[in-house]
Amino acid sequence: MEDLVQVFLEESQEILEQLEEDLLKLEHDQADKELMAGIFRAAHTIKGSAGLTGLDDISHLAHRLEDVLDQVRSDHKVMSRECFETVFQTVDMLNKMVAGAAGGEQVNPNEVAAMTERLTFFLSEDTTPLKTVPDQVQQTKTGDRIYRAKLKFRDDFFESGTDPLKLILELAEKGEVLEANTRISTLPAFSELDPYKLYLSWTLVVRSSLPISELEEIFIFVFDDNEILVEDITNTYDITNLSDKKTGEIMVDDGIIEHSDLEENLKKQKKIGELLIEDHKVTRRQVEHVVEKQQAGRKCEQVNTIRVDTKRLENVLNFIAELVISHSRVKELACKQNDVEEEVTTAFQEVDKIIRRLQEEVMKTSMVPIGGTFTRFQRMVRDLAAEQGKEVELSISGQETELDKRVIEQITDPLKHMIRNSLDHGIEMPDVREANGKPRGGKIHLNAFHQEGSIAIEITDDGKGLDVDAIYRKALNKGLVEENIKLSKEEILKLIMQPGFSTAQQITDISGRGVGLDVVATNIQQLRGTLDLETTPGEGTRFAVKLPLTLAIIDGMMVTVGEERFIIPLTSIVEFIKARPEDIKSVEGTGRVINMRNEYLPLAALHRLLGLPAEKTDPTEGIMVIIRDNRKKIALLVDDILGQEQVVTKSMKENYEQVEGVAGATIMGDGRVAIILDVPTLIKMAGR
Amino acid sequence: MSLILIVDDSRTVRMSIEYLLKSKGYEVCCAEHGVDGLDKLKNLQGQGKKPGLILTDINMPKMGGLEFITEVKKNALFRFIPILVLTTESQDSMKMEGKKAGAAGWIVKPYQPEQLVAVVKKFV
Repeated sequence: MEDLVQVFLEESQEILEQLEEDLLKLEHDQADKELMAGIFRAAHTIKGSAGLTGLDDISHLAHRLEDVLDQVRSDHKVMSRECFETVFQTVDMLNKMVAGAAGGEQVNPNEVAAMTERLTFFLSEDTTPLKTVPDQVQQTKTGDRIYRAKLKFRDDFFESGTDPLKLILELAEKGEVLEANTRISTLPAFSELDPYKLYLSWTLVVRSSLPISELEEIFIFVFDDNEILVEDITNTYDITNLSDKKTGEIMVDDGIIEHSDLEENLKKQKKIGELLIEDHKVTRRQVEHVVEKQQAGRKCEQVNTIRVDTKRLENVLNFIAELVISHSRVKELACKQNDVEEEVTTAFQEVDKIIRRLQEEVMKTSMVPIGGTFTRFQRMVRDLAAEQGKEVELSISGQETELDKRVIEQITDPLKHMIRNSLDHGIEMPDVREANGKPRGGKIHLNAFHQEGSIAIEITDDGKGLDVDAIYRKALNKGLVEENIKLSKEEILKLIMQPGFSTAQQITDISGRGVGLDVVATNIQQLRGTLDLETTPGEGTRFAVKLPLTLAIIDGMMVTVGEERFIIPLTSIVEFIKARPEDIKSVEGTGRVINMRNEYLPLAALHRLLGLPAEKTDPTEGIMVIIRDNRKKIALLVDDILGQEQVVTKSMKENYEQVEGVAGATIMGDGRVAIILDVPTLIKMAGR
Repeated sequence: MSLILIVDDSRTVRMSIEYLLKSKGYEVCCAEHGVDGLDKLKNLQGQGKKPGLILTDINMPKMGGLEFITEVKKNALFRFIPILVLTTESQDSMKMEGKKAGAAGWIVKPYQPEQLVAVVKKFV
């Protein structure tokens, strides 16, 4: 390979000469795109060739130069004088390095590093660090495994020039082929056969000592546009349990036929009744009678289902929401008259009940189990873990828990990010875990369950936990907290959900960027949910998400402050109390508290929080509503309580900027607007 | 027995791949850019030869790799020849653009010799 280096040296000298000439021209006419393209290509070629020749220093420096040029080129930037200067000097240095490689004077590596650094200065921040040749992926020992590869290529597969047989033979080289099945049922009649098309698909079972990734590697170029599935079936591959299965089912498993083929042909199969009739063993009437009996029996156990467009379902829900509003309006109008007959009130109560049940039933139809969403994360965890060289197992429970479809849709991304977060920052590398006396494989557990009228989803990992001190220091650095304010552990943990606090040191990524936890927290808040986290250093972290069952309707208590009416979601209300003067105490630093059966709760006045005029500013005159989010309780002073209402939320986002402490608004029966309060935020505001 | 066409504007790249593939018993033909590549294909056709695989760089003067692939795929005589693009780093976008244009796969530079041979073996 001596002469290869020689070729490179000659070539790069020529290129660098031309490059210098072009740069001089470019300095006079920066708009010349072709010139720019040529200059870029020169740096690119030197980088690639030097890499091939093993001259990594030259390759790295040329790479940086290429990055700078690429940025100028793609951003249509004008190169500054300084930038030109640096580029020229880089070219000089490359020249020297090439001469050095040819046997001349060697260039001091420190100078090269300094030049690389200077080039970096002209790059915007998000440029990826220089990549060195990746280390050979560590081969994990798995022992002999059994894999099934299902290969279904597009029918225009030959167009790419790839030969499926080559791929199959390559697979066969990786181990011992136990089974090879070709599906020929898709083959058309000879007269209709297009020789340029691929009609066959294959299923192979291979025994191999290699990890699954090595087998998947074979199909690297064809994974994206074809149906390729390689799975580890070591645990399920057992000839003996085939005895329970029907011939057709085994054929589907082996990929000889598709499920649709099976169904089609089963339909053609003659029923036993028909055969018996043909054989004159029974009469048609006898058969019909038996079938009737059988069907009656089946009907009892069948659950009939139909598919409904979700749009329709949403419409129905919307109409029910409107119905609730109209109903309250009618009720209010009717009950305004004096001496309303008792029968009328009872009738209204009856209608109330029916509407409520109707609502529940319809809501149930749009509820789906969260299991489907959970299982989708399995693949993500597997891929991410493999990418980072970690061993992670995702376990799942509560998959049958049902949630509003819209909530599921909107919670999927936040959940994904939290799982990513656990995997990226929680679970340690296997060696680190082992050194700390933990099993090499980390665990992430996903759990969903009902809790006090809402849905709780928890993500628990057994990783290293969060470093509370480090979080605090970082928040100080970022100016998110002030030094003289003492924070509890919980409060510090909440800081990582603040905008501007990103725990990620760097983006470790292939499939999408990691998002800060602040975005996750905001998304959950928009669903009227809450996010909490607990952590134990060395043992792990738990994210706890709490979500409402549905987004559309809130059961709330209507209260007044001055002229305004507010709705407090019932799920957040603990109780109402009338305060006595002796219950209220002033505490230095934290303001007033109220003694409720020997529990001291912070006292806040709604009119103060929202800056409104109130009728009753003395806590003993108004009414105290004890509200809570999932860990804190406070007493909220309001003027009066009007009663329980079921309200339909209307988002105010389109009309107003997000107001702190307000979750939305609703239109009441009399056409007036009431504000729906956002309890978690109110509690936060009261704490300030 | 199998002929491989290498299209790359860098002499170093051409030579190193040629050297490597020849040592594995392949016959190799080189071109400097897309236009040259198309000429070489036609010349070979005239001699009754056809490459079993084409390796092409993306960024080249006169005619770049993507355009070259498109041209090859347009020609009924050559459209079933598998083409691999030579990309640098792991520019995912280029891999995909190459595939869109009709390439069968890619080789990332700098490559380990055995990696390149392994990929080539998938095709010829």
